[in-house]
Amino acid sequence: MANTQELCNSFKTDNMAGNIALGTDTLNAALYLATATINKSTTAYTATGEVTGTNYVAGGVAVTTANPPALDGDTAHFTPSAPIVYSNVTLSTAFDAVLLYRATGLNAVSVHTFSSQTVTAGDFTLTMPTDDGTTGLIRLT
Amino acid sequence: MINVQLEEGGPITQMDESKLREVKSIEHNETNSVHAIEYWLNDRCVHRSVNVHLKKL
Repeated sequence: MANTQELCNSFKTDNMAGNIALGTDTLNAALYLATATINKSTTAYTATGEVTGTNYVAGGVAVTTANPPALDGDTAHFTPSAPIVYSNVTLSTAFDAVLLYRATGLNAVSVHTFSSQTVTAGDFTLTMPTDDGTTGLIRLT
Repeated sequence: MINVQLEEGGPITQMDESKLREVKSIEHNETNSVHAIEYWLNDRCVHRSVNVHLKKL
């Protein structure tokens, strides 16, 4: 099993149906073990496969979303407006993915993967790309 | 002073980093770049912080 970086399929319909408002809704970010299976078919936050460890709270942390989605040419884009930080955690089992999801309703938004990591008495920080139509974290064309 | 965990499952405490060996690493790939900093006490990693710079989907 493996985690795969994708925009979640359910987000596409949630977006079109107006069920998720990026930039308005509170998003959370949960981390997943390298042995989990989180991908485009994930429809909602699940505790299955989520990391556990010192100072990590199930469900992850809130995402700062001060910037609303914007249009750059023909591309709509959205990027969290601040890094996502898990502070002073120990996560001893390898993890390699983060799931962004709507805090209310738990609707899945996107999965982002990275090389397998562990953290010991430290911070795990996800820094965001520049929010534009070329590099924005989530882009719809 | 940095936060450290001297034994698995033990409490997180603080220690003067000058007493520890520092190891930095950088990794780049298509979807992100990863910067990690570790502090080692003898043969045990007692602190590891990671910064992942995400790129677009």
